[in-house]
Amino acid sequence: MIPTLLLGHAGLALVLLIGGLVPRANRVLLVRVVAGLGVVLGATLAVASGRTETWRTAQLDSEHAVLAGVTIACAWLLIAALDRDHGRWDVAALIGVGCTGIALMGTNRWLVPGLMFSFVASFAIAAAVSTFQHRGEVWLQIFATGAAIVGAILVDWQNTESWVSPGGIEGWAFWLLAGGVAVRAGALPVFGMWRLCGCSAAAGAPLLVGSAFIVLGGPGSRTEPWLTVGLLAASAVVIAWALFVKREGDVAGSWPVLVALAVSFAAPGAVFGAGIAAVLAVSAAGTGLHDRYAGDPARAFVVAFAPLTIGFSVLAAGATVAFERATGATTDAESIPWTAAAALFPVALAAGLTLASRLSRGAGAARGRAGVTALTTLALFLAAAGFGLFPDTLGQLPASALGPQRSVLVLQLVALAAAIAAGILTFRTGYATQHLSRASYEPVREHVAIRTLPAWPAAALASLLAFGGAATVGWLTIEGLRVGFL
Amino acid sequence: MATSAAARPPSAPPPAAELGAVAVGAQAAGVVLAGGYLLGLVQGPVIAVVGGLALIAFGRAVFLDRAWAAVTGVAIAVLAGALGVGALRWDAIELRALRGAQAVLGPTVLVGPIRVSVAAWLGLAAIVIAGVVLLSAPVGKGRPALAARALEGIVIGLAAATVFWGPAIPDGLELGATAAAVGGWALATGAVAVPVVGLSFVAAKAPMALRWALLVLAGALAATGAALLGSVL
Repeated sequence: MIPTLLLGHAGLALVLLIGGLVPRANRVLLVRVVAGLGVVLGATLAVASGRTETWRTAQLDSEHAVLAGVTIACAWLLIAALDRDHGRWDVAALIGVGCTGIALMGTNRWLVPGLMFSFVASFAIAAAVSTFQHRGEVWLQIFATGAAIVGAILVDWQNTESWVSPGGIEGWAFWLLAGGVAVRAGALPVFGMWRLCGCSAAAGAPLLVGSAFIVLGGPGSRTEPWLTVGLLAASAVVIAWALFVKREGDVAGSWPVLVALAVSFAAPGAVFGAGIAAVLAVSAAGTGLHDRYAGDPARAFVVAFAPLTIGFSVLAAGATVAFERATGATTDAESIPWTAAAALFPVALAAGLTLASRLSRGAGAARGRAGVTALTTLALFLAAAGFGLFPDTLGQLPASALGPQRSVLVLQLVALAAAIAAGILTFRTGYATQHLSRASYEPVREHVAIRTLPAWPAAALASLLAFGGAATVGWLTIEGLRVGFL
Repeated sequence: MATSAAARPPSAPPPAAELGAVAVGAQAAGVVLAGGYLLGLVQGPVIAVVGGLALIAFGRAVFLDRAWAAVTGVAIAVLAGALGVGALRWDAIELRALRGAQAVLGPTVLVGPIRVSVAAWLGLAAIVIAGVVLLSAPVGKGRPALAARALEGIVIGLAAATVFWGPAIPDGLELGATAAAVGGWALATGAVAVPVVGLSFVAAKAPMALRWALLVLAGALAATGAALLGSVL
């Protein structure tokens, strides 16, 4: 079963490769069917993670596999939603290769093969975006962060003479790794993958986010309160920027990434939950958050980590851990960052919900896009709510994040029922139409173009970094083989 | 009758009925979630209550313009921080632990030393001010809007009473003590909810600058309370 789950995406890519020969109308259908199969394979990988099967260097029984499965399912879902009538089998096929890379990376028991497959995924994503505008910037994001991560692991290996430090990477190499992971996951607003929102190449975005959090759950696993504070402060800046300077959709996508990273550095045990929340949020944003007419409450809830979703569970876990660390601290040096983090988490929650209200109010999607996009964001919302209702499926979320599992579940289901009943009542009575008239919408602010990096210098730099990163991974692999490590 | 998504013109906003239904649904969910924790039906941390309050704020903000939405968001952040002052007082983020500490030692606002008690009062004042600003937003008219405002005021009152006053029902089944405790708890809830709802009507007529000033004041009170606690505990 494992080979099918891991290599099946590459098999689907082969099907698409052959399918490229068929007429365009059939290609559109083929891409959708294959993407649907990819979603099923990804979801199966996530569900099958409870099994203890192994195959070569891959092993299913880890939270890495859940994260990898969700990541892959989201990537295929975006292909199905955003290909529209273009029939871009080439993009879909390359994303399929990237999915296999992520599957093999996420389930790998060994660091170096994992890095190798990560680079395979990187090259596949880079190729998938090669025909899109702003590709230079995306390449730079992919390969600069890849080089940073590999460089950090190389430095750590030289320092400790161990393939994986037990407590994660130490010293300045950790900061190199953390920076690489953050940028790869999309912490920089309006840069790289954020340029792809709304087109089929956006399917690469969840793969980048997923791979970043998989690294964070391995060699990057470390408690770092000041980093948490910095990331939360950055998320507040992003919200202020979104609300007062730019249009929300232009910059808002990086907010959930920043918050998820903050939680990961506050509570490393919650990294996989945070990763899943971030992947779902980035996928929801990828469906077209930047669009001028992008109002969609389901998307807003996923992006803004609203209560009932996995994002909120993760945020609550971070807040709880920060509070407990702040009150349990014995020195000022320990207490100050944790107190700041404990104060900033509720601010992040409030900011997220404010953002959600603005994202919901944006005008609707353009005709023809509305149905598919709405279905996709609804599916992502249901997934986020599913993980939110059953956070224990993620294993390592702090038990006290929201309270005892069963009673929290019942309360959340009652809240959902109340929401549905109140919503239906409001809809039928037309109460809202009296108070939320079309005239009350503020004028949509014009998109303010944010200057992109020059294409050729960015591409050249990205190529150099790609070469350097790939060469390093190759050397590490040979070194690993030489000592019989693999 | 709502317009279906497919039939919308390309640049039309989503129908108000659909968006309004989502907003009111979120408010209802927020009341249920926060109420469930505050009534002790479910044990959990203070942040879970803040989540319910944030859903309420989301539902309100959908009806509002950008400036009002920002005010609503900041009000919820201040409210959350002020609730955190109560949690900080007992070094406990779990509602059960907060109730337990107050059941044994007394209401947070009445337990000394004096600086700690003052800190709790500052937190409580911050909740009232932030609650007033939150509910002063012009969300709908008529009886439904009034009922929603009253309900949300009660939730804010419950949150303040739970964190700063204590448990509703003592251990044991003694009727008199139970009635007194429930009565005290209801009074504490009302003592916050009534002024919050009442003053929100006054604040609704105030200029926006005054609301921001009130939020700054509430934030400063909460921060001072936290700093006082930090210096004593």
